Amino acid sequence: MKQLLLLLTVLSLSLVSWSQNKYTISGHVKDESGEDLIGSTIYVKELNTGTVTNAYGFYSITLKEGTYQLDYSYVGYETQTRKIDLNQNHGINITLNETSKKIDEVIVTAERKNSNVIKAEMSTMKLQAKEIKKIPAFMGEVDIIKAIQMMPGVQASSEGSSGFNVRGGSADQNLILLDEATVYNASHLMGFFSVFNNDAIKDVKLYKGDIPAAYGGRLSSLLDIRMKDGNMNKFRANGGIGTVSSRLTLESPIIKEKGSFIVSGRRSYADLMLLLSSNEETKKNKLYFYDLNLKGNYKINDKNRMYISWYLGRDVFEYDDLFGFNWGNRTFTLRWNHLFSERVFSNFSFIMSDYDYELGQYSSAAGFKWTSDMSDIKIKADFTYYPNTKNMVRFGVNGTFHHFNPGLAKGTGDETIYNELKMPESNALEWAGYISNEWKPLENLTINYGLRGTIFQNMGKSTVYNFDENYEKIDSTTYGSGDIYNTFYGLEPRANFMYALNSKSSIKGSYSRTKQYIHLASNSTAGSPLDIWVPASPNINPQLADQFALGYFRNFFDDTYETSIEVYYKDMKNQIDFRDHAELLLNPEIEGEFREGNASSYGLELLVRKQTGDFTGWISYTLSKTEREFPEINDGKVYPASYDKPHNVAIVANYELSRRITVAANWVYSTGAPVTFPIGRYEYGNMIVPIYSDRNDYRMPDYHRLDFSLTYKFGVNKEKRFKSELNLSIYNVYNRKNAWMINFYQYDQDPTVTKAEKVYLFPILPSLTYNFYF
Amino acid sequence: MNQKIKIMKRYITIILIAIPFIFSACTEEIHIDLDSTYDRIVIEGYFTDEYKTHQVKITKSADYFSNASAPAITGATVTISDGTNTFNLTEIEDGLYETDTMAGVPGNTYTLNADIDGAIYTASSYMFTCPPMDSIGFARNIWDDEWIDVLIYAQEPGDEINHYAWRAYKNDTLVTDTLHEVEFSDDVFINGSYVNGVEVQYVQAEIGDTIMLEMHSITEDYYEYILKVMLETVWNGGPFDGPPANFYGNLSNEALGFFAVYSVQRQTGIIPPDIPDAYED
Repeated sequence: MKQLLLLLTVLSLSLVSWSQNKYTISGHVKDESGEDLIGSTIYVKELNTGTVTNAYGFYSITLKEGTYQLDYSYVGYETQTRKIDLNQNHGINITLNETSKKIDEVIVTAERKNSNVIKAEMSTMKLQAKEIKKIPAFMGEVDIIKAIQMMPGVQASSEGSSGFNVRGGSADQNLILLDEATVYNASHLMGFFSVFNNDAIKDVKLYKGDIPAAYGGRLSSLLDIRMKDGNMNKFRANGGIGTVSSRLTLESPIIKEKGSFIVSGRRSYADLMLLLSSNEETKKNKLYFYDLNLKGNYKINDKNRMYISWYLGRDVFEYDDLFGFNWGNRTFTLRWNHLFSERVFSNFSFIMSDYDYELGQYSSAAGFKWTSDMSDIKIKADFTYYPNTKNMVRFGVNGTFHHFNPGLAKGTGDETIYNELKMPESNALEWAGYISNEWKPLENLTINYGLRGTIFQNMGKSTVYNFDENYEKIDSTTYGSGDIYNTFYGLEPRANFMYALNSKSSIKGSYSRTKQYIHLASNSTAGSPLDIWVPASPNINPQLADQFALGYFRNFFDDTYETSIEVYYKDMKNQIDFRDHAELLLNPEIEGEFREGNASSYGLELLVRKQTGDFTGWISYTLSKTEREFPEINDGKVYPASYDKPHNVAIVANYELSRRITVAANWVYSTGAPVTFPIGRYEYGNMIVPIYSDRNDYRMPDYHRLDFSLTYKFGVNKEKRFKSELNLSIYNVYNRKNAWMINFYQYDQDPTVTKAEKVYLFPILPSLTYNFYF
Repeated sequence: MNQKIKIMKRYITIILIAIPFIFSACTEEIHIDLDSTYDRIVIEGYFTDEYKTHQVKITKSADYFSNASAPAITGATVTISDGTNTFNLTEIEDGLYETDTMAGVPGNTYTLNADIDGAIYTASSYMFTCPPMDSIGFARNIWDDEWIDVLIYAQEPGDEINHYAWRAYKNDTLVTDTLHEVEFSDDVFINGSYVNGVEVQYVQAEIGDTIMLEMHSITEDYYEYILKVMLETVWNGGPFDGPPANFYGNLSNEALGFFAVYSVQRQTGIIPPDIPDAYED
C-alpha cells in the first residue's frame, strides 16, 4: 500500500507542472487503405521530443503555444511533415503512403528512424505481417509463430512446433492475444502450423520482458497480435493456393472512410493428400484444419469508434468413421474507443475466448465420448491520459470469469457398459487494476513506472480434493455455485528507463514482476491438443517471476542498421512440473500430480536488424542458461530445463532483386535440447527395461537448417488491378537430418540387443504457393 | 486407468505420432556414447493360486548397450513365506529359483526373501481372489483383419477397486509371453457392471483355433509397475510424453523388478466360422 501511495504522489507531482497556455494535437495515423498504424512516431522537431500511436493508431501530444514542425513516420512508409501554428487544439489525421521504389530517390531523409533507440521500451520485437510474409515459409504456410521463434531470446519448443520458450520460460508462460482475446492453444496439426492466418493479421509484437503494466497473467512474454481492420476506401480481395491450404480474404468499406470489414478464411487439404494414398485404409481418414477471421469497425464520429473481431478455428481428424478427434479455439472481441477529450483516450472491451476438444469412438456399446473445454469472459477498461509532453499516464481495470471443464468421458449409446469419468469443473475470477506513467524528465531520459494489482479467486461450483504431504488424496470438499473458496492476490511492479547517449545510441533497463494464475498441465516438450489448463487453487500456488534486463541500443549508417545487446536475469518461483509418470489426462485428482519448484534463467541477446532498403532482415544470437530445481524431481538436484539451449542463432535475409523477383533465406542454429537417456538396462517380463541418467543429463545433436524462397511477381505495373505472385519455398535446403527424437529400443531380430535410432521429420521440402490480389 | 481409456490413449498416441509422419518422417540408426552406471539387483518373481512350481529369476542390470543376456545371480538363498510357513526355493538353472509343486491361497500375504551374499532383498504382496468369467467370445479386430479380439463376459464385483491382467493361449501355447502382450486394466470405468463382451486380449489366430483366456487378479502396485514398464518401453510417445524416469517395484534395498502375487481364472473357446466384426450390433 505504501508503494502505491508513493507512486500516486510521484504521479501527481509530475502532472502539476503546467501553467502556460497549452494545446493538444491529436488524431489517428493510417495507411492508404485506412489501416491504423500501430506504433508510428510523431516527432516534434523544435522540442526534440515526440510520441507514438497506440494500438488503435491514436496519438495525442500537448504543447505550449507556438509554431512546430511535426514529422509522422513509420517503417516502410514515407514520412509526412506538418507545420502548425499552435494556438488551439488540433485534430490531425494522417495517411502515410508506403515507400515505393519510384519515389525512393526523392525521399528527404527527415525520417525519425531511430525510434528503436529512443523508445522507452526494451526486450520487444515487432513484425509487420508483410515482413513475416517475406520469410521462407514451411510448406508454403506463412506463419507468425515461426517468425517469432527466430527472434533473440526465443526458442522453438521442438522442430515444427508452435510452442516457443521466451527467456527460459515454459511454453505456457506466453500470453498470446489476438485482438486482446487470449488464445489458449495456438497450434494446428500438432503445432506444425499456428492458428494465425497471416492474411488477416496486421502486425505482431513480442514482449520478452518489460511487459507493460496493462498486461499480465503470464510469466514470460506477451505476444500481441492485431488483426487487420479492413480497407476503408475500396473493395479488395486476396487469396492464395498453397501446398497445405488455400486462403481467401475479402475487405471492403461499409461506409467509405467510416467503417470497413475484413473476412479471411483458410482451409487445409491434407485429407485430399490422404485421398491420393495407395492405401485403401488411409483414404477413409480425414485430417484438416480451418480458420475464419472476421473483423469490422465503424467510426461513429471523431470521438467514438467500434470494433468487432471474431476468430474460429478447428482441426478435424477422423479415422474411418470409427474414431474422431477435433479441437479448436474461438475468440470474440467487441471494443469501443472513446475520446473523453483530446487528451484522454479510452477503450472498453468485451472479450470471450474458448478452447475445446472432443474425441470419441463412434460405435454402439463400446463407444465413448471425451470432451474438455475452457472459456473466458472478460470486461476491460483502459485509459490513456496525455497531460503534457513529459508524461503519459495509462490506467485501467479488468475482470475475467474463467470456466474450466477439464474432462468428461462417458459411454455413448443406451446400452453403454461404461460409468462416467469426470474431472471436477471449476470457475475462477481474475481481477486486475493498473496505473503507469511514462515520464520524460529530461530530453534524453524516459522513465516508465507502473504497478499492477491482481486478485485471483477460485469459485464454485466445484469439488476440491485434499491431499496429504505424499500427494495422496485424503478427502474432498464440495463448494456450492458462486462460493469463493480461495483467494490469491499480488502486486506486480513494472519499471523501465531509457537514457539516450546521443541520437544514435541509448541505454535501457527494466524490471518487471509477473504472476501467473493458470497453468497448462503438459509435461511433454511438444505440447498436444489434449493439454488442459488448470487454475491456481488451494493445492497449486500461482507462479511468480522477477526479471531484470539491461540493454545497449545503437544504430549505424544513418539508422539503417539497428543493433542491440541485452542481458537479462529471470528468477521464477512456484514453477510447475509433474511427478514421474504423471497422469494428466482424465485424472480427477490431477492436482496431486503437480510439483512445485524454482527456476532461473539468464542470458545475453544480440540483434542486428535492417528494416529498409532492398536488403532487409536480421541476425540474432542468444547465449543463455536455464535451470530448474524441484525438491521432488530428479532427487532434488538442479537440472537444465528441456528448453535450455545455450547457443541460438537466426539469420533472416530478404533481397529484392528487382521489382519482380525477391529472394529470401534464413538459417537457424541451436544447441541440442537437454534430454534424458538410458545408461543401464535390466530384463523383466522378457522385455528390456531402461535405467535412466539424471534428468536432462544428455543433449540432442545440435540443430541447424537453411530455408530459401523465391517470389516472382506478376502485374507489377501500378495500373493493373490484378496482381499475383508465385512463391517457391524450400525448407531444409541442405537436407540435414535434424533429430526430432531419439528412440532406444529392443532389436526384433535379437532380443538381447538394444539400439538407438533418431527420428527426423522433414528432409528437403519444396513447396509452391500462388497468391493473388485485386 | 481403465482398459478402455488405456486403449483410447494408445489411439491418441498413435495419432499424435502419426500426424508428423503423414508429412514425412524417417528413422536412422545412430551411435550414441552413453555412460555406465552401477549394477542393480533385479528380481522377477511370480506366485499364484495354481498348483505348480513357482519361479523367481534373479539377475543384474547392465550397461544399456551391453547386448547380452542379463547376468544371472547364482547361489542366492531364496524363500517364500505366507506368515506361518516358509518354503525354500531351489536353483534349477543359473539365476532361476523354483518352489516345490504347491498352490497359494487367496487372502494370504506372501513374502519373498532373497539373501544374495549377505544382502537381503524382500517383497510382500497380497493374493486377491479373482472373480470368475462366465464365458469368452471373439470378434474380428477393427484395425487388423488377421487379429482376433478375445471378449470377456463376467460380472465385475463392485465393492472395491480391482486390477486385472489377461494372458491368452492359442492351442495350449502361451502367445502372450512378453509383458507388453499382457493386457491389464483397473475397473474405474466399469466398476460393478456386468461386462458384456469387452475385448481384453488380441490373438493372431484362425477359425477353429482353441483360445484359452487367463485372467489374473493383480495388486494395484503390480498394475502400476506394468504401466510404468510399458510407459518406458513400447508406449514411449517421444516428444508427446513426459520426461522418462526410473521406477521401482515392491522390492526392498533398491532392487529392481517385482514379486507378483495373484490368483487365476480361465475360460476356453473355439473361434467360430462366423466371427463378427468388433462393435457390430
